[in-house]
Amino acid sequence: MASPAPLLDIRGLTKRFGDYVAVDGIDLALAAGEFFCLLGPSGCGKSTLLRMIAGFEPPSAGTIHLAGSDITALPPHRRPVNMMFQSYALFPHMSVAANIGYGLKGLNRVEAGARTLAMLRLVRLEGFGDRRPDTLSGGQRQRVALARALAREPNLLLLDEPLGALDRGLREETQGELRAIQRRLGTSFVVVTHDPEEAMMLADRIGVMERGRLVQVGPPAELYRRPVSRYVAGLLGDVNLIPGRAGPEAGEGVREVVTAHGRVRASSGASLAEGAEVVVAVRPESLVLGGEGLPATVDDAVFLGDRVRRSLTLPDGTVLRASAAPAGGLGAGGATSVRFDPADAVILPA
Amino acid sequence: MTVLTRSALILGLGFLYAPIAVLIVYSFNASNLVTVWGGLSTQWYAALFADGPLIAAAWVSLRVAILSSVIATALGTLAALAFERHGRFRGRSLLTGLVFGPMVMPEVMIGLSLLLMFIGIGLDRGIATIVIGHATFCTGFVAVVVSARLRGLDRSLEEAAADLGAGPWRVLTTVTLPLLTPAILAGALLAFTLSLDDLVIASFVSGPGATTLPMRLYSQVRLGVNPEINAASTLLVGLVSTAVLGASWLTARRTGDRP
Repeated sequence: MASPAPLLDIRGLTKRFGDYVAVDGIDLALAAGEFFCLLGPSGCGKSTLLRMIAGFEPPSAGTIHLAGSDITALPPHRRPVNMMFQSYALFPHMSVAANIGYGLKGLNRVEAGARTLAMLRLVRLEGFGDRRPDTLSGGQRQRVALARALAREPNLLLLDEPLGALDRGLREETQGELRAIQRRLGTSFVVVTHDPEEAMMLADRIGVMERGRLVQVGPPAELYRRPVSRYVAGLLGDVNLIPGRAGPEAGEGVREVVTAHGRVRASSGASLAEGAEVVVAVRPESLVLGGEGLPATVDDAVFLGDRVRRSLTLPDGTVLRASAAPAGGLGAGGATSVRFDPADAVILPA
Repeated sequence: MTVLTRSALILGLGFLYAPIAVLIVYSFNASNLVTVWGGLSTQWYAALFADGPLIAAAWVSLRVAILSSVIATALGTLAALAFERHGRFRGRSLLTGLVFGPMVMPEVMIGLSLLLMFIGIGLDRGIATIVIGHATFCTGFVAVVVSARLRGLDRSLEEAAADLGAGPWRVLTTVTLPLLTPAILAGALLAFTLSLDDLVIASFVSGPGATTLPMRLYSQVRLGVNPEINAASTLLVGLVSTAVLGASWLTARRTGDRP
């Protein structure tokens, strides 16, 4: 089955500021209707990438195609994409309705008025049309910014840290709302965020950026279970790293790792030479106590309601965190063993 | 506030403003002698408005100030936009220096060089040459005020407008200029005041029939101070302070561009 042509197709996109490479040869294809998150720490180039798609930064190299046509050289006002700014960038000298209607110059007055009203309804701000932005709360301003960016019915909406300025409770509520609006309109969203939890909550696919490069792209579950590096593994949640050396293959996609306390089996992602220094990455909930495994001592156990978190130490001092359903009591203290299913552990370069 | 700081404040303000206060008080003096107090009177204001040449000079000053501040505001705003919104073009530093230069150059030098230029190109001296001279040095002041505001303006506002399909001209007229209006008006008031105050440059480049108010007052004082001058000066002080207060109010006013 031939996959449909991507809505957004980025090839070899690079941005240099003098000697500094902010974005380094990014390839990325986005399907229509997809919710994509660019995740990374500040300064990783994710905002620069977004600004290049919007047209505010001319790329140093590479191309951007939108719906089949090359938009690399188009100025921002000729691109059929819209952007929601981190600061919201609402025009302070215009009413809410004038802000939302700013991009509707091509429509006649009646159509523009109707579209503005529909947008106000979409973000549940009916009756706020005559207000000035500075009389609104942070959450309301955020919704006006979203309505303004969506008013032109773009195929692709870019959102730069859309929830960054909201406080915690409001942020979680707004995440759900953002996702509902995206589902309803079928618009492709590209969200830039530094918050892994937010990315997992929102996105169909996440692209993790590190120092100007896209290090891994995939659905949240894939990134969580099969990270390609220690960096990605640590970014998406708590992870245990057990050092060792790569051993021989032990079946389909599984190989042995020789640790200080014996051999373990784990899934091998990248091809690694035998004897190479590696780490085995295991999520806390994948560690199982007891049975045949690595010798370990339980140092501490904390009851957290839905789970028990245990802190374990291997004989060489490596500390592991295990998390399990609270069946069978706490079982704190004492020697035990720890094991994991090879399918739940992944071998990564050290 | 301690006694020390309070007295320092009073002394400082006194040092700056006592002469002007004396001038204002003596403009209401009934006596013919400038230095002798003879009771309260507004006769010198009446005399002032009956003084034909002085009123004519005031009109010249007003026309020069309005024309030159309009020109300086337009040029200064354009210069500020070029400095702050058009990146690093060739000759940017040179242009910056050239615009701000006249602010720090001695006025005598500006006046002299303008005079030489006007003679060189054969331009008849009069109101037009004073307007050109004033616009020259006021442009820098407007550029400074407008640049400061532009630097403080969130760039993403203009980017958002462009993102919503507005071409450069629409961005400028519907977003940038409306948000700059307080700074542009403040710059215009500043230019107006500077032009109204100027004596040196006007003296160099004026011609017959184009005597500004400061020139008129100065030449009268050389023949002897009379209380009428006090009255004229008081009105001038009032006008200038109103303009300066208006300018600082416009500059300080919150315009709500913060998120």
